[in-house]
Amino acid sequence: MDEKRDHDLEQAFSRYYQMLYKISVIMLCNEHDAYDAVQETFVRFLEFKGEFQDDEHEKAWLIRVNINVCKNFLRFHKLHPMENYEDLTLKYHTEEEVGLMDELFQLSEKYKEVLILHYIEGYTNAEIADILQISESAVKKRLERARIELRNRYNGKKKE
Amino acid sequence: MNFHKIAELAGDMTISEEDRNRVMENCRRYFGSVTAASAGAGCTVPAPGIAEASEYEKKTDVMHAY
Repeated sequence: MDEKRDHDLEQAFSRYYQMLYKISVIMLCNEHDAYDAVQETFVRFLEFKGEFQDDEHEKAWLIRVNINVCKNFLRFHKLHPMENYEDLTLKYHTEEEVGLMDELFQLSEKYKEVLILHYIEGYTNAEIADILQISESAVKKRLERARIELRNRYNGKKKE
Repeated sequence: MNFHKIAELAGDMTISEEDRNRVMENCRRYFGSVTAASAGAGCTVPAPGIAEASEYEKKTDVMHAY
């Protein structure tokens, strides 16, 4: 690998590996698959031959690729089912924390991705639309439905 | 329901230093092997965990435009 590419990898990795890992864990509900997804995302980064306009463009590109890599992993697991759900909520303490994260992990991928980008990464609807390449109104609708779904699931669980 | 709590809780999900270095080294190794193979200089040695999904992508062409 040439020096420049190695330097670019080192820099991008240092900046974004924790963020991409977080997204991957939530999308895949599995820490080992999340490592692989982060790894594959950065391999694609190394293979990318274009130029990034700025740091924000680079970050958005990595998020988009990472989400697509996660979706591919999920499709692969649908075709080749395996028990890959880990109890990722063991580290949380209160009932609210465990309930919230447990239900988040079980949401559908299209809801998870908008919630992650909005609440964890702090992106606006317009920015999310750009990253996911869907319309802004679709983002708004998905966010609204995701919140309702998460709230209903969480409240339903509390009543059980 | 406080949805902003998600960010706080997700903050606990982190890669350890050891795993960070392993993942980055795998990226270098995998990319290096692909580059070497495309230059006709050797065979590819896929990094653990990557080969299966990559093969799947090739077969099904499900990767979106990046």
